[in-house]
Amino acid sequence: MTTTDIPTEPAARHTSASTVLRLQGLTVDFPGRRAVDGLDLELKEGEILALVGESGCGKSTTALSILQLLPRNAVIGGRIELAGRDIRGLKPKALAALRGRDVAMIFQEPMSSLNPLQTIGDQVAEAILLHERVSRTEARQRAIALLELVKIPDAARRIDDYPHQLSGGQRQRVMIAMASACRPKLLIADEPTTALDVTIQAEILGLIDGLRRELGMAVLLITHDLGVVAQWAHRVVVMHDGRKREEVAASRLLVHPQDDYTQGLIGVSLHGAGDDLHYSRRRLAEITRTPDGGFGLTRPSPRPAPRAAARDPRPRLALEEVSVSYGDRHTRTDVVRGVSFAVVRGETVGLVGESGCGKSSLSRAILGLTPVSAGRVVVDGTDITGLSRKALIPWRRRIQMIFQDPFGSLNPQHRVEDILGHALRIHGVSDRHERSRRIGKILDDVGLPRDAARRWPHEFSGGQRQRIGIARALVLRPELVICDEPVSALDVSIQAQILNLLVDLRDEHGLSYIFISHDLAVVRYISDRVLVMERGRIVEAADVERIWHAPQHPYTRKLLGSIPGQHHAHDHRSPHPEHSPRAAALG
Amino acid sequence: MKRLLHPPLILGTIVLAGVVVMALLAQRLFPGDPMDMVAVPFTWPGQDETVPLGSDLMGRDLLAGIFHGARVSLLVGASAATIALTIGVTIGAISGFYGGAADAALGRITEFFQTIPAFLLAVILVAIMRPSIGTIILALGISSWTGVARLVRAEFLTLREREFVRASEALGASDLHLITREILPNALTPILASTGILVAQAILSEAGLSFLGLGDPNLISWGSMIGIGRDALRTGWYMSAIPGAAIMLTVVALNFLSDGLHAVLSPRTSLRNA
Repeated sequence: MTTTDIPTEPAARHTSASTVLRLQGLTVDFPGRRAVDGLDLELKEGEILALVGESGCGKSTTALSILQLLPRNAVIGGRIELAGRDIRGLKPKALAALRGRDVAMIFQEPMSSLNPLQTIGDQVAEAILLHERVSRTEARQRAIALLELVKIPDAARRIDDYPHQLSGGQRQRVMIAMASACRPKLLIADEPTTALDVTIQAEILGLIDGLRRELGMAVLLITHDLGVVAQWAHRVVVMHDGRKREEVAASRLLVHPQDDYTQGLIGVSLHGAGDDLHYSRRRLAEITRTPDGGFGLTRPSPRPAPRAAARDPRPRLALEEVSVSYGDRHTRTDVVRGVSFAVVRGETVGLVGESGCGKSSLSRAILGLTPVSAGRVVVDGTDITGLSRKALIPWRRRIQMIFQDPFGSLNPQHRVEDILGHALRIHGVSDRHERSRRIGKILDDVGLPRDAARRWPHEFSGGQRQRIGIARALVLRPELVICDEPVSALDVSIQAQILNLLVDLRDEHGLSYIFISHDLAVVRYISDRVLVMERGRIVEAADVERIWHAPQHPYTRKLLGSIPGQHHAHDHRSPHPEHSPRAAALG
Repeated sequence: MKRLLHPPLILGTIVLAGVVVMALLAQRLFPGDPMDMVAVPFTWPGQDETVPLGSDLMGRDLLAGIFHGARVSLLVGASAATIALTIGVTIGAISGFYGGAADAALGRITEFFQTIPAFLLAVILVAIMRPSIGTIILALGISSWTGVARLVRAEFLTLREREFVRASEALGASDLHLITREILPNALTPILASTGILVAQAILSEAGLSFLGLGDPNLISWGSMIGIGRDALRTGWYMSAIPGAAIMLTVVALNFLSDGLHAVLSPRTSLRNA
């Protein structure tokens, strides 16, 4: 384990600031498993400390242990010091007084962390009334002020709205208003922007940063996104397997990582990398474990130049003015409006857009799962729009799909061989030996052991399950595969493996991909051409380099501008301000 | 399987197994008609060792009645529950899977059956069709499927939107495959857990019908035994109490079993991303 010295620069700036949170030898044990193993960290007033790591590394457990919100079977050890006082094992009543007043927390999912039956104003006021003796009218006045502080437009009027009337980003703002209602000393933000679109993500993080400055809070930011860390945090603690691997100034994280695991993590991530990071030029690095328990990076040789001659100019799939709408004549909403594009053999087309832009409806329409309300879907020169389900079956073999959620897309009640065999049976492979031969072959292709066929989905990790999903799509030897956010639910190290696999399989099987993602770095790596979608329309379509270097449409520019972490190289200190005079006045 | 060591589940299983054994051994241990007069009427339990649980006001052996009654109760409970499950799962699956007009139409039918008190409907059906074990089973099955239908519909509505169903649909699977192979196995836990309650309800309703004299006149059942004992409630309360206890134990056992199954089969709240 390497722990670099606490970086001089921000530390020097905060020498006068007092320590808000100090963890000493924190351990969290679940029955049969140690989730956090001897963690030390310190957080000063007005500082943002990022806790980074992959899922299962113990970062969220650490956050929950501070407020002691862990399930009952968890045992916490070590010291948790809040402003000099050990708060571990406090009585429930003392803890309740602490929660929300001294330490507040924001969660990942703004959709489910607000009560749908109460107005947002009541919920913010409630957060005040829990800890302070003020009248209802005064609490309401302060709730309005708080909603203004978190930049809810027209706060005085919207205070009586219910959560469902707000967008996802606005709900997260309300959560932040509730969290800062009592001016806590410490704000814990557990993946606060993971569920949000990239343009909103930047706004929310900016808001948290601004509040930290105004209220002088310390912020513990838990995230898996290295780009977010580089842009917003002062210091970073990298965790793996419940232990701290490295503690370093955020500005030095991407440039001078000391620890081998941190180096691996940065090596596999797509953020902040140069122009040559494209599938046609090189494979992605993958984290490996060395025999002595350390971590290494495989740096595979660059790819040979793409075989341009292999491209067949005739489109495999062509959409002509395709529209999709839901509802009947009176409640009709158009989610896809007049989209046209074509995909040729061996091409990867990236489809980018925020949630609700119509990406998923479009992919469902191509697969024939949602009827097309206007326009034509043409596969290999044949119009398949309006074909009956039965007539569609031979075409279904040619177009397959890889889904986002590796936990939700496999039926938990079926063995892997049943999942794959079912696909073959539908498409007329009735011979059992032939089926098992093809299942064995495709398991080899996606890098799973042969005995995986006899096992159940829950026996596999997220990355392995995504491989099963890929096998299911490819076992029919399709020509075009729609990848719907295939790596969004995966950790960065797994993400690199799956992306490499997708590129390899594409070359081996002569596939075309439509690659849907909200993650621009991923789309940039894997696509030949990019379509940018906004409110059901394609607003820009161009080669991947053109989109990146000369975006034409304002929406494309806005999307590119909100990628986290891209500013750190030239101006990494910009979001790290001193305490503002207003904060001093408030504090 | 440590999880199967759930106390109510074990207790329920043991009691229910006992009732099943009683039903299976009834003919062997008590050959002949349990309706025959074999002892002096009003023999209290323990008075005469040939009838350990005593005799009723017609001199019938109560122990033989309990054993033979177990057969009727279990038969009625299991068969009626099967009918209710078949109707309920079919209607619920179709409503939840197809939604729209099919759901609206089947929803009306379900509501129609829900608004009529189930027991009253069973009484009417049996009275019209003349009482026999077959008509009782049919009447109880027809009057008790609505809960299952609503449960299955709700499960199907949520599971229908899951990605693995979409994935199978994208492969070109038929509706029948989607319903029976993809969705139904994942909805089985709550259905299984509700089956115990369904059987218990049918046993209680059968007892109720028999008590009212609407039981099969050729078969002895726990309900009819209580019905007979009712006439001597003050002088020989044991005649009602003994079959009553049998019903109570069986129903409680089924409820335990149902609760236990639910607790054991439900996926535990896992601690992913700890």
